[in-house]
Amino acid sequence: MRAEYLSRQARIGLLIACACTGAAGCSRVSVPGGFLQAADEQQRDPYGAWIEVQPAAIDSAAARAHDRRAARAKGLPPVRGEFLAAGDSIFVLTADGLVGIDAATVLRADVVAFDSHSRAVAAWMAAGALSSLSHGVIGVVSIPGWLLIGGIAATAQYEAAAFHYPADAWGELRRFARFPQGLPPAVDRRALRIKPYVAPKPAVIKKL
Amino acid sequence: MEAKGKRPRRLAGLLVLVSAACALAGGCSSTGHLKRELIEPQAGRLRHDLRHAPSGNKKFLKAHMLDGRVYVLSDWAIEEPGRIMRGTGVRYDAGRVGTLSGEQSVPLDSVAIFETNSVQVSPSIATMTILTVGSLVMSAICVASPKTCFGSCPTFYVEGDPDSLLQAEGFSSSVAPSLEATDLDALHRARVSGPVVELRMMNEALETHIVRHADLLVAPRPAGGRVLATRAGRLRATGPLLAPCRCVAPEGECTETLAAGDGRERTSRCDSTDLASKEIVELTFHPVPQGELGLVIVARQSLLTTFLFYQLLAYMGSQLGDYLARLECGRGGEDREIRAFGPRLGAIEAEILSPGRGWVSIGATGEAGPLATDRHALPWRNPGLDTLHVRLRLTRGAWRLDHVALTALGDEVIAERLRPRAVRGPGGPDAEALACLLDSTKVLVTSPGDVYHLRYERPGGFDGCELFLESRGYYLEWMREEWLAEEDPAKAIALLLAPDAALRTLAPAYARIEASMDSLFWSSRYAR
Repeated sequence: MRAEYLSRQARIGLLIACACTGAAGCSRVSVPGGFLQAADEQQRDPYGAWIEVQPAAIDSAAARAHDRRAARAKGLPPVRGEFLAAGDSIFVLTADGLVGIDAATVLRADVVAFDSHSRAVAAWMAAGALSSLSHGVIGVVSIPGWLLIGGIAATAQYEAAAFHYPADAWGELRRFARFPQGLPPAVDRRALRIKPYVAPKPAVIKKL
Repeated sequence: MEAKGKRPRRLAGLLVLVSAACALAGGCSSTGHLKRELIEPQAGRLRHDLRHAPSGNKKFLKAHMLDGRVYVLSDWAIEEPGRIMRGTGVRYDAGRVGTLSGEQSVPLDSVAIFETNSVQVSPSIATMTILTVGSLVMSAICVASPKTCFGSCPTFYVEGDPDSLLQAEGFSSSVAPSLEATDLDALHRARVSGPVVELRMMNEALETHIVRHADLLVAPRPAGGRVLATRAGRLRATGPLLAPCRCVAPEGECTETLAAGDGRERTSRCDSTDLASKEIVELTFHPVPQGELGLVIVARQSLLTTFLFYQLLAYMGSQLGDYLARLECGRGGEDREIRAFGPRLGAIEAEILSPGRGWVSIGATGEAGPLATDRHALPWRNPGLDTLHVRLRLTRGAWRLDHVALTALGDEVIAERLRPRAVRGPGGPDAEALACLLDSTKVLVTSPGDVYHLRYERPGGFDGCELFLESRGYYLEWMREEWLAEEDPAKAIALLLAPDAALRTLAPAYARIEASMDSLFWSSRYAR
């Protein structure tokens, strides 16, 4: 009876751990693999951070009122790419070239400045919760403790690298642009290319 | 059976290792936070701002030029006269192609903005590291020694005690409903005054406690003396406690340790070949009062009995419920066997050297429970001795002796019984819990982590009084998953029916963990 109870607890713990790990990986801005490096590498990177901008539709008044639903209803796709500069316009360097968006029409923007390894923290949380299965009945306390504290830590780790307009002003976000001083007039805009990056190859397990 | 028992422990160990590896990987990967600031290149403030740029490891400075170029410098210096910054790094063009590496010279007039960078330690990682260390310690405790987990009946503390000393543990031997018993504990370390005493009753183990009552017995303390409980549960007034003038144990003289009830305890290691091996502590008292005397022994058990009890439960494993049911039905003789198990290790037997009769037993004392020290008096009548030789016979490694003394016994004391006036439970005032403790047909059931505050009131105050706690009830030890791995009904029966052989078989296992058992036991205390 007791063992059955414990194994049920363990199964619940596992399910929650998987759910939290999944949640830690989802509901985030999706950054292409290899675009961002860890903080100690990123600090000397001459390129801009990753940005995802949600522009409003034609009705800029609605945009200023942050009527996101209306903007989405019109099917405007978000603009994703390297954060180039912020001023009256927000410049994003996409794979197809430079895109300028009127800053007044931006509904939402998310900047990810560096790879915070928040997924590693989420995996750490899951491993910790799993290891708490060895605590026996005390796991009833330690597993939720791991999930709660680990979940908060993983979220905090991600948010340390993420900045969000309109919660954060453009003056804050521009620190992570390629040209924080604004787009220099002398720059040949057509010659600009997005930061080259190589997505890490998935590990291949060879059959022996 | 051996292999079967080891498998879950290996799995648990594997989980711990995987967790440690993940923690190591997570902690070692670059998880710092990037702190970046922009500094306008205004004359006069630049040197100051750069000097006060965010600190951290691996600082880098970027000089963003008006034409879009950027210098990434790992070290730099400003030459004020020429308005030039010199440093080492890489220059990139607007397309971020590296055009020059090495020594750089940056004209400040062409700089649009400076960018400072530093990496700071992540508070999330620090939190996770602390959490991991705590969790791994707990895992290590449970994997390495599942039978060192805290246990043993309700614990009682006196509220307001600055040292928060454990004062008593109730009905330690009552491990099943049919073994429900009344326990009398002297709260001899309590320092109370005023008309109110509040006891904190805690369930600090993975057990279910069933408490029928918890009454306070209050006896006036005689001038210069104390009130002590005898093994028969009677309270007797005593004179002053007389310390022994000499105590000798197998390890040598221990007079200083046993002369005062100061918490310093005389202990010994078990016999690694036989847990039932005895030892003798010899004491000498001089002078000796005449009349009826009491040999006062202040002691508590070591964790030996806890280990054996948990081992018995582990052997019973999933059939523990069947054993308990048989115990409750009075079939199979389990009641008698479990009751006989304790005496196998024995209490503390006391003998005095009587002229012409040799060593004469005056009784035995020693209450079950490894947590709180108990104080009991063994009464005997002095036949006219001026010097008294006492011999205590006890099981090696089974007892912790705090104090042994001699005292003159006075009259029996009729104590005033105080029942709790109010109970505060986990959710605040708990009238239902109070009703349970006041009604002998009801019981208060507590779970791990539960804390109840029992309030007692005496209009005349508690100054100059000795307090005793009379608790009645029983408790049910929870089966631990780790213990199930050792389920072996044959060994359980052997432990009950042939304890002598079992105590020899288990001796090496206990000897291996004996030294570390105490710290592991206390660190596994259950609290919410």
